[in-house]
Amino acid sequence: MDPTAATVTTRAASPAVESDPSPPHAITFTEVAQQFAPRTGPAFTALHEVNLTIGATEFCSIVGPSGCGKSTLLNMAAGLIQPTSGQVHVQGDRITSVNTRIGYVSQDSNLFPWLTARQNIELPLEIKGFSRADRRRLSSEWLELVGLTGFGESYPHQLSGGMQKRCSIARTLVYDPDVVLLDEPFGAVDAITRSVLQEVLLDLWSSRRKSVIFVTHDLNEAITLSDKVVVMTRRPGTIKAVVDIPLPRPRNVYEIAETAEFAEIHQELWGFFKTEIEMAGPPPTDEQAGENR
Amino acid sequence: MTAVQETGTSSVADGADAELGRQAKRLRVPASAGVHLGRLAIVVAILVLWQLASGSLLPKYLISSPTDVIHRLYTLFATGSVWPDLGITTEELLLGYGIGVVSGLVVGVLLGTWKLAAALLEPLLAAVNGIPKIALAPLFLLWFGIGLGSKVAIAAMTVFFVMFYNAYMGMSTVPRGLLSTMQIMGAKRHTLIRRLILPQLTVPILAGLKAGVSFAMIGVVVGEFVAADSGLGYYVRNSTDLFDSPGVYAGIILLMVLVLIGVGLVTLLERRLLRWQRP
Repeated sequence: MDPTAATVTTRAASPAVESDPSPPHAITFTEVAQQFAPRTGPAFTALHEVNLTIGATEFCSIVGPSGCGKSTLLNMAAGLIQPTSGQVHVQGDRITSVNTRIGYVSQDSNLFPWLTARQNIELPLEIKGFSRADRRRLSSEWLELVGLTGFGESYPHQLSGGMQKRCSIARTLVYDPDVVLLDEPFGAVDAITRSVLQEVLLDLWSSRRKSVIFVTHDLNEAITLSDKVVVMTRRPGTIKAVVDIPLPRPRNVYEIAETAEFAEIHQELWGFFKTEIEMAGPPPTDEQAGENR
Repeated sequence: MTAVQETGTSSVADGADAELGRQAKRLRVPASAGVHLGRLAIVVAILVLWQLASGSLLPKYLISSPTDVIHRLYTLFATGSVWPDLGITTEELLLGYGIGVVSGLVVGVLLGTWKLAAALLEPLLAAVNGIPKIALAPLFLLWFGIGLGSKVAIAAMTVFFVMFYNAYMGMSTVPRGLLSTMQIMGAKRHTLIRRLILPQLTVPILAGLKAGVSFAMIGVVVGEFVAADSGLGYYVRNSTDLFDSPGVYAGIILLMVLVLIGVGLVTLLERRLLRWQRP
């Protein structure tokens, strides 16, 4: 397979993006590098030379082998960690501290166990100073949007893993952030629930058009959801390729993988992905590729 | 610094905690009617043995007897002579407990969120905590006088350390994921404390509240033993000096009942606060 196929644009080697990042680029990473110095073990470079822009209404997935720094990129955009060098801008502002204008859905649902589903969804609204009536109205609306009507008064431990995810997504989107970061949000749920959640997410995104970065191990998931897929190298992570996904929308998450175009894109993407995994260890079979973690 | 990795480990730890919690629940024996009857039977058996042993196996002035003790309790309440002692001990207990709980909690949360202060003060607190509190009782009497003040001070200090360590150690169990989730929502320091740290501390705080009741009582009674002119501890000690064994046992039973009432109230609070944990 030819890595320079027409649908592929390799931007990793291109020079840094404009020094004054402004909309429509919602998120820009400029020459970002990250070194970690753990208390035990030697210091290591997690990321280097990352240049990436994500548009204001773009759904962008990041795939790459474990430990390649995918989550680190998200944490930088969220301002939870600062890059060792380089800059991260979100909506034109350089991120130097916790970014409170974004929404972040993490691997764990991170629901507050002492709050009911509804209270969890209302918490960010409360922090942001919404009135009681607005909180109530919005939480009801979002419980319905993510299919949790009737579970508002349940505590997280009373919800299934998939329901916890939906609650977590509702809690993130309820305050209408323009930028949404998702870190392997569906990693721990079964395949069927995962498809359902993907559909929920795509529906929400289609109607609200956020700028999304979606980190995943799953190539199929990345292709199904995204406008473009960023393939990262193994550690020290950098961008290997940016692949546009020209599949028409709206997409049917249950059937899209059966189309010829999907297979074609998957093959191209897998070409980049495979070499990274081969270098890291024994190559998985094609079957495992989508589920690799 | 390695946010990614730490998120990973904290979630593993959470899972382990939750699993331990579930196991603990499974291990807790359900109190069926049979169990209640069995417990009653054991108490009755002990009382009967006590009654039989009294005056036959062991001299009465050493172990008194259930009937004598019950009679003494009846007399104490019938004549009303118990109220001044019961009242003063309850007051000391409540004041010492309250001051100890609040100050321990405040200092624990403060040092838990303020790393520099923790680094500076923790060794000092550990050293003071290393002193057997009873050894300080004479000193406290000197400082706070023979009355209520010295007992409250001893009880408060004892409870302070229980609460402080429970709250302070509990702070390190706050999951990083929940913390960053709340920071991203825009929560400021006071919101973090109120909506994340205090709820997260519910379990250790409740454990401290429970243990604190008996610790407070130890402090109060020690104070009353060393020097006092009223209180149940004083009554017990005075009865001992007079070889009045029914008085000793009656006093001890009243102290026990006070602690049980306190623990019972905390348990009610616990049921309310931990609703979210129940399966």
